Amino acid sequence: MADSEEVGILLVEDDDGHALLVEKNLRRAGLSNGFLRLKDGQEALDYFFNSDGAPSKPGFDSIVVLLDVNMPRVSGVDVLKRLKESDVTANIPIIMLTTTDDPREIERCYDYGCNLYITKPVEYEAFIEAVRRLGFFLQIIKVPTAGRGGA
Amino acid sequence: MKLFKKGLLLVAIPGLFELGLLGVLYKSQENATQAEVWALHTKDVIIQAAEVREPVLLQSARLRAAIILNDPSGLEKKDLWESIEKEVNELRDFVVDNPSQLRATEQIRASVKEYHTWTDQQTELLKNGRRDELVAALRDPKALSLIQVIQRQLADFIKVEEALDDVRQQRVIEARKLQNIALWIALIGSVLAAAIAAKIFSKDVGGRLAVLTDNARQLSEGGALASAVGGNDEITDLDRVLHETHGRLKQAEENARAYREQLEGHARELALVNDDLQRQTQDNEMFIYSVSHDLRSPLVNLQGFSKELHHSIREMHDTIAESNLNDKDKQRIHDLIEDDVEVSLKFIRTAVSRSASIIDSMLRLSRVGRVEYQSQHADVNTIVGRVIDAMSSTIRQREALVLAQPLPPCYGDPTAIEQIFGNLVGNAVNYLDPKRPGTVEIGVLPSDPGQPNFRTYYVKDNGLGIPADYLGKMFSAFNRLHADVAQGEGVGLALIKRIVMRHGGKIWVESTEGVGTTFYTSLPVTPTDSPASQLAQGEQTHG
Repeated sequence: MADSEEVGILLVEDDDGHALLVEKNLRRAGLSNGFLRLKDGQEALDYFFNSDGAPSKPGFDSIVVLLDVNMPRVSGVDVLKRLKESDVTANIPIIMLTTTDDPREIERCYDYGCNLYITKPVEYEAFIEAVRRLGFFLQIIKVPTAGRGGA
Repeated sequence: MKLFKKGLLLVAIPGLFELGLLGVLYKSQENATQAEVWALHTKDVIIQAAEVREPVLLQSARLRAAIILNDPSGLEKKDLWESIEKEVNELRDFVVDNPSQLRATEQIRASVKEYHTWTDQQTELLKNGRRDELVAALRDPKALSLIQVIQRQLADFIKVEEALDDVRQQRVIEARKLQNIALWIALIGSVLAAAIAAKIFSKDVGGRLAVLTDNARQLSEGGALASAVGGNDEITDLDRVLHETHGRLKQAEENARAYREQLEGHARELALVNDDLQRQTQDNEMFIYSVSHDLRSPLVNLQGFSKELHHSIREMHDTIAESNLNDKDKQRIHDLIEDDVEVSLKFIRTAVSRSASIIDSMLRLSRVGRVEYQSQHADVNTIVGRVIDAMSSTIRQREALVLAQPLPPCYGDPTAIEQIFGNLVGNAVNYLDPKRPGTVEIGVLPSDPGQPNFRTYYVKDNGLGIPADYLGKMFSAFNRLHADVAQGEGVGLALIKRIVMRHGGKIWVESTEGVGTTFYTSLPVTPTDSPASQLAQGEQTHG
């Protein structure tokens, strides 16, 4: 689905409902980017790295990762850590999505290098607002990516 | 022996000694008197001997006179002879206890008798006129010698008596000397005896009293006592009492130590229980946190998909409107969707909102126990000013008057303290009585000398007040009194109570229904080392 011309959205979320809601609302907000959903952290790691641990692709331009924090097997924070450790994947924008608004965890994620941390709101209106902010964020980062692609 | 007896002995021993010496003195006095009597007696004897000589010499003189006058008539008189006889008898009576002198007296008597006989012969001669013969006889040395014999015998007698007198005088002097010596011995002896008795008494009683005093001092200082003093008097009794007291004291100390150890044991147990409780509280908060957290996830779905259904219904309305169904069916479907589905969805959304709100409250509540405080000297004036500013629109809306007195600083986490005052002032403003102008006052009580490390702030309002029955539940979570007046889940006071307690402080409320409410909170002025504030150190992060 991911198009090199467009920003691809990679959602790593174990909860099907959440995943569907995020996708629906992104689309409703007018974000028609390529969308791929992975079920947990392990799948995310498999997507980015080979079995020997090397990056599966030489570069991951035009991709944004939405990472749920609480997932079975490999948690979102572990995925974040792995991605930021590798030079090839370190520049991928990562947005943490979680139900937790614990300031310590937020701080921890920022320490590991996440670009944005969004608390999943229960209020639907607030959730849409968060997704809009997310979309706005994606719109912004799309410009330098495109600029780089054109260079 | 009792001290009284000892004291009595102290007096009695010299007394006895003096009594003995007094006896000796009396005896020597008696001896001296006796000696004097004997000396006087000797004098009497000598005088009596002289008495004997006098009539003998008178008789001799009478004889001579008769011879010279040649007149024998004077010689007829017998008075002198009787006198001589009487005097000799008296002399004999004096010396009846002295055999040698008695013998001498009898010799004198014999000599006197012989002289009497000779005198009678001479008298006969004179009567018969044989004066010449008489003179011749008188010249006879033999006649003279008779008188001389008597004289000599008397002289000898007196000489013997005088010798006796000398001896007796000597005895008197010696007796007097002995008497003096006895007197001195009695004097010195009694003084010495008294001194020795006193010395012994003081050594015995004084020495033991010293031991007793030392024991008493040791007792007061808690040292070890010397072994029991001997004897069986009051000192011994007292010493025994001291020893018994010492024993009891030791026992009491032993008991006190045992109690202390027991107490320390209890304190340790209590500390353990306390630790356990703290851990449990932490676990509970952790549990509440994870449960609330996990509950949030399905709620996101519930809320999200009910909203999705809402969107779908709108699309369904559009679709039905555009369909070729008759108007009656369209209306029926429309009513079905609006009355059943939409109403059901509304209830679901309301329930979800409420659940989410409760979960949020629980999360906040659990976080209060886990959040790490950045304690510092906090300017309460600034904090309260900020709280009032943040609520200014509500205050204006309620037309309330909020007054803050000058507030001294306290020591704590500024954010947490802002939460405390925010909640208290918020409650005060929210629960004002609409029927009268509302006033809220924030101030501080005069510092309590018993609690110099704490300062008690208050937030006082003239609002609705709290019924007495409800006061006890004020700080429990999920209790709401005026649910209709303001929104919330009823965790605000529970939350700030937890905050205040974690600061080591206290929070309480006084209220009269219909008059107003005053909340008090005591907060530390200086850093405290309360266990509650250390709780944050054991905090764990929930992933």
